[in-house]
Amino acid sequence: MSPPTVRAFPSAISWTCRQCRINSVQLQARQTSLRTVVPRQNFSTTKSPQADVQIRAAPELDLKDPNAIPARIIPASPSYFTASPVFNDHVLLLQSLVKKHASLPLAPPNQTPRAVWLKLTQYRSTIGEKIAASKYSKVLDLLTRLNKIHPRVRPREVKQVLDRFRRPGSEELQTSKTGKIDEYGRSIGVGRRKEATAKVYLVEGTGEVLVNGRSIVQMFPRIHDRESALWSLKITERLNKYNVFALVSGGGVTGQAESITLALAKALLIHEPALKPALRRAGCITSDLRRVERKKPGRLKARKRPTWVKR
Amino acid sequence: MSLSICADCLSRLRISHNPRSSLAIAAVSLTPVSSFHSASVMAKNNSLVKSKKGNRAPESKYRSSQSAKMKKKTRDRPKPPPIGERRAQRHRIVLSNTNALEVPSLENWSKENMTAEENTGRMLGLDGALLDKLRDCKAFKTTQNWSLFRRPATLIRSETIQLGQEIEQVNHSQGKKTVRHLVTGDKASGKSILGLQGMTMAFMNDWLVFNIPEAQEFVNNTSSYAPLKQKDDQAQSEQLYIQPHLTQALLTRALHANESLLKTLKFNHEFPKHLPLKQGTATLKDLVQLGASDHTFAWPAWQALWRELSEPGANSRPRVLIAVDSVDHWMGPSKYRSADFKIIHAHQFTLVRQFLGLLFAKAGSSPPLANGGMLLYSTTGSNTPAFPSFGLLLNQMRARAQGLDPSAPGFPLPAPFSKPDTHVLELMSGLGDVNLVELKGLSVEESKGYMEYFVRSGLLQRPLTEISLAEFRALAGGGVVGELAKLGRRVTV
Repeated sequence: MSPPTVRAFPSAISWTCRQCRINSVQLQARQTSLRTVVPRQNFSTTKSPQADVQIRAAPELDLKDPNAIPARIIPASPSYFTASPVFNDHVLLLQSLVKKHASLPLAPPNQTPRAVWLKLTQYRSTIGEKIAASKYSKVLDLLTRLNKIHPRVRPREVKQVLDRFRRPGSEELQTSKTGKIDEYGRSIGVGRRKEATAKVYLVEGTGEVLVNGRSIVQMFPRIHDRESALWSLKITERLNKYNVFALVSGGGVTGQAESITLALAKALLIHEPALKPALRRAGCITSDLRRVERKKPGRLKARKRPTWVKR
Repeated sequence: MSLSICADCLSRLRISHNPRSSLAIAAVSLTPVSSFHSASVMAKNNSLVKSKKGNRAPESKYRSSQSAKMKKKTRDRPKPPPIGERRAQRHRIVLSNTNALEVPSLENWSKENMTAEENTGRMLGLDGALLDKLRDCKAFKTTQNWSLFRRPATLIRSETIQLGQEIEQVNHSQGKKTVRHLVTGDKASGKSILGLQGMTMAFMNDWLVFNIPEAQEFVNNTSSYAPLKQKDDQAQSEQLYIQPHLTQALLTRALHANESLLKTLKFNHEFPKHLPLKQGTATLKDLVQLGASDHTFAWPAWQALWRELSEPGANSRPRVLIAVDSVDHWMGPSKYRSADFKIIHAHQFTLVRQFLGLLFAKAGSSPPLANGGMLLYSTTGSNTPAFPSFGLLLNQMRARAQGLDPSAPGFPLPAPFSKPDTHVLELMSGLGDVNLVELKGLSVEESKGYMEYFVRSGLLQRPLTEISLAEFRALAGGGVVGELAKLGRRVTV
């Protein structure tokens, strides 16, 4: 006999108090003890499995035949017993490849083929497992390491594996527009920082700098700003090799100076693409996407709250 | 919404009459008491009552500011320095820095190596007697970085050599040759230093030097002025004003800087009777001393002195250098007011008019100096007043320097509907002889010599390589000398 329950109510609004729950448990216990004593009528149409199954011993092992069932069955995947076997397989595969080809020569950074790997969400949907971003970043590290192997000596298996992880349609993404040096020997770079935009014309010369048609001293009275504007030339020791003509607009003094840094680095890369790693280390490649946070109503600035006043 | 009674209890209520199940109802009817209160509800109420009865500050009807209740802290301010101390600090000229290293191979600048071309891009020291003269005529300025090095030295640049050669030419010429220079350039490009170098070379050659270190003093309404009594034939022309104290200061500078030279000069012409000087035995030094001692005699003394210097006579006259710094303050209305409260133009002051007339002398006028000399005027880059007419004047001089004819179509002219300053426009007729010296950045060799001096003085603790020199030059806007000095003395970690 089951405990009386009210089935008229949907489960969302009905609940059971603690006392009732304890009572029901005790009741069930009493019923099971009763059941052992009193045989009950079984309404099931199928037979109980216990009734007919005859327990048989396993066939005798034939030790002479090696292809017979092995003594210990080993799963095909080493990660059979893990929670996410496919992902683990991938990691193990990549690790083994990295280990196997560790002695192969690496390509210099400017000759490393540009690679766009599957995004985390894409990878999750392909393997059907919910992988943490931190774990996937380990896969990406391994892929990047494999991608560094010089293309001339790269084994076929590595290429096949890398292709499996490549983002579909990334071939179009990879072709970035390469700037050209125009008929006057100028290269053009554009950079942005804060609200400022800079366009730099770079030409081989003796180290003259003009910003908006004025001398850099007049444009940036602070030495620090001048230094940051010319940072990409300074760090690559090219200050007396090029002439700079920059056009800047928008923003303040610092923003203008730092937008020139980026624009100058881009223009310099057109003349000398091999400088890219040096410029990246100097922080002249990555543009800073931060902008001023907007002011909100009810606040004094973007985040600042008005002073608390008692009543 | 959920049921207020347990579903099982509800079903039991309906289907059974077991008195045991009344427990469920009892559970529902119990008043809920939150378990986190240690005191009972009544005790809580009591405490509220107690606090109401207790001593409290009378509640004010209106909101009053907290700051009114706070006591103001009395701050003991430090005693201000005595009157004049701050100004003296501001104007103090420091010519040496004992912390800087002595540069052993520093040569002195003298008359012998004045125009030696091989000295271009080298620092040359200034020695004792010359220093006193330069100091007396207020040639040093606080903006010129003299206090960085162990002893005063100056960079010889190509413009300096050119100036020296012109001074030698004036020395050798028999005629009354007068060289006129207007020095312009960016801020900190070495304009006033070039003026100082010109004065130094003039002192080396025993010239008479008149220096106006700050032209702004003449127009910024900080000194006495008085209308000049006009003769009858000049009644229609505009009123002129004299500045007695500024004239006195000019004479004082001239007296101390040129004392030995002035002592030797006798009068060529008769001076006005009201000057208390002995006719016959008096020298020009007495005249200048008279003007320097008393401002009421300053203007007539200056007039008499100028007549002696400009009109040839029996005794020969020395060559004269007139140096004026930040001359663009003289190119517009001044801060002074006339008796009917109208703004006085800078050109209505007699000294200003006289000095500008010397530089922008009309073609065909008589030579201004009896024995020739040099006029070395320079503009200012840091304190530039907005006088567009003077900008036009400079543009015209640039166009002339490029060989553009004044009647050519591209020659700069006043904008059609603008109101250019007529006083300044009058100067345009005398542009012919004025040489515009535009100072740009130092050359590579010069900047190398300059930065090496910083290294040898221990200010720049970094070896000077070709790359670091290129970096300095680029950061200094192509080798602007003042900016190079800023970089040279900057502490880098």
